[in-house]
Amino acid sequence: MNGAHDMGGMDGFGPVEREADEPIFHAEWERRALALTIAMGFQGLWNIDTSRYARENRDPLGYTGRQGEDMMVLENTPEVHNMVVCTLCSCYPRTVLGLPPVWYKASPYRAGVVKEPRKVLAEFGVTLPEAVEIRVWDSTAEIRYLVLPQRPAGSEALDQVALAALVTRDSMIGTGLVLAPDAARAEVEAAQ
Amino acid sequence: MSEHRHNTLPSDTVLRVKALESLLIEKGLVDPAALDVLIDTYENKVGPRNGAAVVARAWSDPAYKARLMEDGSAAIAELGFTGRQGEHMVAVENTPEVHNMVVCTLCSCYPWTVLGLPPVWYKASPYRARVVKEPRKVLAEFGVTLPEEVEVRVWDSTAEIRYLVLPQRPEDSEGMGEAALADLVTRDSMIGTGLALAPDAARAKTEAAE
Repeated sequence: MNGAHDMGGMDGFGPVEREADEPIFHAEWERRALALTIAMGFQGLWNIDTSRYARENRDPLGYTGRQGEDMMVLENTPEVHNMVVCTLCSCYPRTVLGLPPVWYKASPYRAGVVKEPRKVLAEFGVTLPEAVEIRVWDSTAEIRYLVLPQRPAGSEALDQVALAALVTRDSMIGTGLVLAPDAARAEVEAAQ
Repeated sequence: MSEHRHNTLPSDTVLRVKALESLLIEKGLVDPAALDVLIDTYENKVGPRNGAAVVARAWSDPAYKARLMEDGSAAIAELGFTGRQGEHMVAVENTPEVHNMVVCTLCSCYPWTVLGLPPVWYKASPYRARVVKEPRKVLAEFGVTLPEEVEVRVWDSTAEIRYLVLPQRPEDSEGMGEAALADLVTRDSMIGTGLALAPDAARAKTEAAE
């Protein structure tokens, strides 16, 4: 099964961080939780397969808390359009966007977007009025950004499920805009 | 960079563990005294000294080493180390040609009976993600650089099989007895992220601690 737990070969987690002292337990609750877990194992109330199944079904947000612990949300407005990059490697808010696309990790985007964001945006098919300020945010190992795109016109009556269908991955990176309700409908129909 | 990020948990974790413990005790499913025994076992008794004894025996006794390589679980049980997370043990031997490393890419499977509880880095994403992809780079971060011609093999643990690395016996350790040899065997040397200590280094370490 593929999922957040299946980490072999994934990128972007940074260096192996070792503790200087490596205590066996870091707090009293760790002692109690381990003992309870083992004791209940002796009762035969769970086995290792149950435990693995439970972990593998955890929400990726809970599982890979490391990336996304310090999330900053950037709101797009009629005056400001935000874009996200990681010029140094490929830091990306996995908890909300999953694994980054190849272009996000590749040199042309990383190098280009901080220098000529409008040109990069145009390559993604987005042209913004000159009056709109473009802010490019460079991710770090500690801080990940999520763009809150502008809600599209004509979406007033839509509920959350229908609204979520308008939100593309690129609109949350800032290399795209959310779909108009009509465009989303056409996309769904084409897929059917 | 904060080193103890994993430690800054919301206080509701503490409350949840307390609530769970109270409930299980109330239902008669756990005995508080038994919990204390379990904690003492994993905090003070089971640990890498167990694995070091296995390695020192294998270095000293060729017949034992042969049994260890043939059936890890049985040979380790000979020394009295049995139990959870060590049911199916496989020993992998480091040689001048091959260096072995152990990981659990899927979670944190680890040979508890010989090494105790895993360190935080073993359970954390960077090690799990990277050691299968760039083992030499990870090794370098642990301060170990191997000649290019040494093959690095990375073993991915499963819920069923746990691995113990049998490190190479250091030079100048010829006359040493099992107890002295065991002092050369670090935890990391049995995971494959380190090498066994040279006798001089081990002596300096002991003296510094005294």
